[in-house]
Amino acid sequence: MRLLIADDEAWALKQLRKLLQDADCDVISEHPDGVSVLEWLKEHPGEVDALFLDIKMPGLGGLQVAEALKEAYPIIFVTAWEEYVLQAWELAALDYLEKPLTPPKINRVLVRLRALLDHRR
Amino acid sequence: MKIPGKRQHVGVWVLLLVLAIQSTHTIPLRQRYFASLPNLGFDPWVIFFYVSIMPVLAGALYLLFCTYPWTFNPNNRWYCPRLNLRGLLIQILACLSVLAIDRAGFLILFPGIQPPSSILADFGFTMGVLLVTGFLAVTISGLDQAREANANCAREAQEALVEARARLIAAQIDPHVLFNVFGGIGSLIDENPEQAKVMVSAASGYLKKLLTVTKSERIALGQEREMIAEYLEVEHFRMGDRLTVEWDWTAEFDALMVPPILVQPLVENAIKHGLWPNRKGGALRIKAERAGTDLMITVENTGMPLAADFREGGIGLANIRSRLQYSYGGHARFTLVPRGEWTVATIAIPLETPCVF
Repeated sequence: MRLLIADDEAWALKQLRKLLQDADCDVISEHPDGVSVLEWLKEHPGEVDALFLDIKMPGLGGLQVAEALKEAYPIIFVTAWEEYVLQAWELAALDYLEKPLTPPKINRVLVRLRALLDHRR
Repeated sequence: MKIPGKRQHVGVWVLLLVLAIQSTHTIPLRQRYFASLPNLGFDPWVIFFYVSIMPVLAGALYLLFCTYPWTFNPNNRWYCPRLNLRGLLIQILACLSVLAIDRAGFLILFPGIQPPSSILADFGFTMGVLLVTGFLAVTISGLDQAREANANCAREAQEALVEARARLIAAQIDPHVLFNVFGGIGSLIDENPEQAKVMVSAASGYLKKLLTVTKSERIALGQEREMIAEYLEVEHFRMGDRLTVEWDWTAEFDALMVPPILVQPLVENAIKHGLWPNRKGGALRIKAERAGTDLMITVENTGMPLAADFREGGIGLANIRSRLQYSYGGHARFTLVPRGEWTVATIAIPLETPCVF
């Protein structure tokens, strides 16, 4: 499974990458903000299967990125702050990961993601 | 004991002063007048009542009506009360009523005798006495209150200082940042234990210094420098490559005693408002240098530019300004200006603390 991840906290990005790699995913692209996510996707359309986006990022946050993408990719939001949950669901988020991240949380999300991707195929 | 309110307070002074004037002036005047008359056969008690009791009663009666024509203004440089017209008018009416009662009393008690003085002279004298005694009473009472207000003010200033410290600590330990730092350290423990150790010691060193320095009025500048270095270590860890720091601050000025947490908020603002919101991050430059008799500390950053309609609304900058004013009077300066793509914050403080005797 090919993934794109974005978080403005450098260590959090690293942590997310490690957790996903440990669960046998390919992290193809990493970004510290929303604008570079959109730019990268424009240049590499269809190269990733899903996005893991932090909600609070400089410039464009995860929610704005989701709005701009109009459900082109399954999106999993990652954040520490529960107040965004409702907004995330309204934007047809596939799932929601609450920090601090742990392997069981990641695995639960990946099970759903895999099921969705298999179904689409 | 019940503490008299303002009005009663002035009233007591007016009464005492009026009685003093009555007993040194009005009563002897009436005594002399009756002594000069041939014996007309009036009851000596009636004469005593008119001569001695009535002036005292009149003084007391006046208090019932009285509104002082003076207003004490504690902000006046000379503590000089100001005349107020409404009070003056009421006082004139009160004075005329009391004099009318006094004159009526005389005419009833001693029918057919010429009164000892003319109404006009009585009025002039009484008003003069009342204005002067009122002035003195309002001044005495006002000074008393001003002193009390000063004591309150000093106490409030003390409380404000304590509160400012508490706020300062709270403002510097943002739970959001703490959460992220702990999360980050947690993720490092397995992956890179060495760096995790460095982070824990930087974060705990920063917190410890924060708690220590906020207890002091002054700290050595070196402590502030180390604290900022630890703070930057943590931020660097959070921002990764997005943050580059140029550091030109030698140990030369480390012994200078300064108010605590003066420069750290500038660094924090530069990161929070300038570098962090900018997706590409940017550069931070921190410099400390001698400029004449001043030490100039500059914190510059690229990233998001200072908004054109920027106003110093944040508590941080106002706090820096007020603490500089408190510590150095007019001898320190603080500026925050855009310069090209940089936002430049400068604090200039005297290297030699001005001698205050």
